[in-house]
Amino acid sequence: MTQRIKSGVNLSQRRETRAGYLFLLPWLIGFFCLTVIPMIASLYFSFTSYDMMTDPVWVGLSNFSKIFTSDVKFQYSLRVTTTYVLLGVPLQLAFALLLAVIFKKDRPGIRFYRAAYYLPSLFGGSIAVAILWRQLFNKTGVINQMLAVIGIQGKNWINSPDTAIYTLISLLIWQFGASMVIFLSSLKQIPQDYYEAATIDGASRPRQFFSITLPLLTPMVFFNIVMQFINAFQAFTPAYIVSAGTGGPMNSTLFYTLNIYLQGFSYFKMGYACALAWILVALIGAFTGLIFGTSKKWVYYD
Amino acid sequence: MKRFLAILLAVLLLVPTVSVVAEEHEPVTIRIAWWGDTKRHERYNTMMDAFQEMYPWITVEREYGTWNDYWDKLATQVAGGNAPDVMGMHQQYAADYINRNATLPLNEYIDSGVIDVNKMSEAVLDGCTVDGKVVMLPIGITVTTFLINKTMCDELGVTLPEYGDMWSWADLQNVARDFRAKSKEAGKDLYFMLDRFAINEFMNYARGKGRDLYGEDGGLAFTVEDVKEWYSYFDDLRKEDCIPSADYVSEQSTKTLEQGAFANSEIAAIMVPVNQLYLYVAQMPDTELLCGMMPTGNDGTKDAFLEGAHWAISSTSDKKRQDAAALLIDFLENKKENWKTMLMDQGVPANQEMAEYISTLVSDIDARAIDFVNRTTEVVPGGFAYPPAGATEIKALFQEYQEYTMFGYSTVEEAAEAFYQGALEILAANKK
Repeated sequence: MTQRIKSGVNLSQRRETRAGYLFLLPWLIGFFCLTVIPMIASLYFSFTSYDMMTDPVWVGLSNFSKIFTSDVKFQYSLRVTTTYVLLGVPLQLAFALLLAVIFKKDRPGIRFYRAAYYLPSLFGGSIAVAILWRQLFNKTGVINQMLAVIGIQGKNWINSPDTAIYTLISLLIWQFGASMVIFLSSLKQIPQDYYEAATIDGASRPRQFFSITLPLLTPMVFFNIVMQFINAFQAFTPAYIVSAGTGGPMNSTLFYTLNIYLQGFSYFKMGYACALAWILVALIGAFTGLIFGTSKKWVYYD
Repeated sequence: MKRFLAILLAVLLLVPTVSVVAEEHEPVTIRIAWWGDTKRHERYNTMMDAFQEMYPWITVEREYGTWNDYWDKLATQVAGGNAPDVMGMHQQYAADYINRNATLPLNEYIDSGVIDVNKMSEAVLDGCTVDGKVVMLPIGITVTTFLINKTMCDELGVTLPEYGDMWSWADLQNVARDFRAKSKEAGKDLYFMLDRFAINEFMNYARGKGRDLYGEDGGLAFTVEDVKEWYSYFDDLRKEDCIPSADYVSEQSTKTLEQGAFANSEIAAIMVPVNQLYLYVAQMPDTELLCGMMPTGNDGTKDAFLEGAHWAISSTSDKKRQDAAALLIDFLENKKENWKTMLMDQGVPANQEMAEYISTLVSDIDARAIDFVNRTTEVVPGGFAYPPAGATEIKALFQEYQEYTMFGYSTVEEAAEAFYQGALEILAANKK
C-alpha cells in the first residue's frame, strides 16, 4: 500500500519534472545552440588560424601575441572604443539624471515630454538613425546650418578624422531615455520627509541634491553604469553605417567590434577575430569587476 | 464505354512518359546569388525565368543585394557551408574564395560539353584558369574608362583629349590644374576630379611603368617608389588646391551613384567600368559624357586590363545541384534567350558570337560602351596576374594610408613605406 502511494508520488513528480524541462526546452536549445556552443567554439578558434573555408590549424598563442605586440589596428580600435565608452557613458548618465530631476514633478503635459525624451533610446541604435546622423553632421547638414545662423562656419564633422568619433558619442548620449526612466522611478521613491527636514534645516537646493538625492540614487547609478558600459563596449551599428563599414576616415571610427567584423568577415581571419573577441570579453569583465569592486565605497543601500 | 476506353488508353499512354521524364530529370532546386542595383535585379529575374522555361525541372531561387552586402553575405554563407550553388565572383575577391577551394573547378563540365567555351578567347579563359583548373567563367568583359563630363569642361573652355586619344598621367594632372584655374576665372568653385585610392587604379599606373600589382609568384610586383609617386600625384594637386578637401573626398565613399559628386556635376571626371555608362547617362540626361581612355605611362606605355563579373559554382553543393548549376552557367554564357535580356549590363559578352548578337539589339549608349571595350582591348589585350590571398586586406590598407596623406596626418614617404611594409606582412601571414 505505502509502496504504491510512494511510487505514485514519484511518478507524478517525475512527470512534473519532465514537463518542466519540456517547457524549458525552447530556451535551453537556444541557450546551448546560440550561446554556449558557439562561445566554446570561438574560444577554440581563437587559438587557431581559421579562414572559415578550410580546416582550422592550431597556432597556440600566436594570435594573442600578434595582437599585443604588433597590431596597430588593435591599438586604434581600442583607443576609439575606450574614448567612446569613457566619454559617452558618463555624459549620457549625467544627461539622464538631469532630465529625470527636471521631469520628476508632475506638471500638466509632463507625460508627453517624458515620452518624447524617452523615444530616442528606442530607435537610436538603428540603421535609420545612423544614416540620419550622417546627414546632420556633414558639411551642409542641419548642424552647420544652425551654426551658420550664429555666424560660425562649421566643418564636415562626420568626415573629419579628429571629430568623427564625437558625432558618434553625441549619438550615444542622445539615447539617454532608458536610464532616465530608471532614474525617474527611483527618484519618486525617495521619501519626501528627507527633503522637508533638509528644507527646515536650511539646506539649499544643490545641497539637497548632492546630500540626499544622489546618495539615495547610487544603486540606480551603479546599475545604469554597468548596463551602459557593457552596451557601449559592444556598439557596432553607428560606426558601421557612418563609415560605410570601413571605420574611416583614418580609422577614427574603427570601433573594436567593427575591427573584429572586418578581420573575420572581410579578411577571412576568423581565428584572429575570435581572439580579439575574447580579449573584449576579458576587458568588459575587468571593467565590470572594477565597478563592482569599488561599489562598496560609493553605493549606499538603505 | 468508348469514352472510358479512350481515357484509359490515354492514361496508359501517359504513364510511361511521365516515369521517363521523372527518371531523366528529377526536379531540383538551385540557388543563385548576384550583386547589383534594382535595374539589374529586374533583368536577372527575367533571365532566370527564361532558364526555368527551358529547363522546367530546375527551379532557381534567387538572392541578391548591393555590392557591399553581397560580399558580406557570401562570406558568411560560404563559411557556414551554405553557399549559393551559383555565385557571382569578381577578380577583386576571387582569391579569397578560390585559393580556399570554395569554388568547383569547371573542367569536367567543359570537357563533357555541358558548358561550351569554344566561343571565348584564349585570353579570357586564361584569366579564369589557376593551375590548369577553370575556376570561374566571365559574364561579360569590361574595362575602366575615364568618364568625363564634357559639357562642364566645354563651358569652362578646358581642352580635353578626343575620344580614343591617348593621354599620360602627367597630361591628366595638367588638365586638372587647367580646369581648376579656369573654374576660378569663371568665378566657380569646381574641381576636375577626386583623389583615386582604389588599388586597381594604382595598378593601372604601375602597369604604365612596366610593373604590376602582383607577380606570378603571388608577391608584390611594384616598388615602394611607385606608391610614393601615386600618393604624391594627388598630394601635389591638393597642395596646389586642384583637388577638393579631404573630408569632401572621404564623404563621397559613403554615397550612392545618384548622390555622388560626378552625377551631380560637382566634379568633371571619374573612373568607372564602362558597362556602367548607361547608369550615368540615365542620371545625367542633359550632359554630354565622354569615355576617355585610362592614362598611359608618362613615356607613352599603353595599358589596359579586362575586368568584370564572373560565375562560379560552389564546391560544397551536392552533385545533382552542381549539374543543374552547370546547365545554368551554360545558359547564362551561351544562350540568346539569356543575352537578349542581359545585353551590356555586365560588359561585352565573353562568348564572341553573343557579342555580335547583342550588338544588333543594344541602345546607342551601350553601343558606345561596346565600342570602347573593343578599342581598349585592341590597344593592349592584357590579362593580369591572379591576386594572392590577402588581396582584400591589402586593398583596404592602400586606401587607409592614402587617407593619411590626404588629411595631412602623414607624409607621402611615411605612408608609402608603412603601406608597403604592411602589405608584405599581410602576404607573409597568408602564405602558410
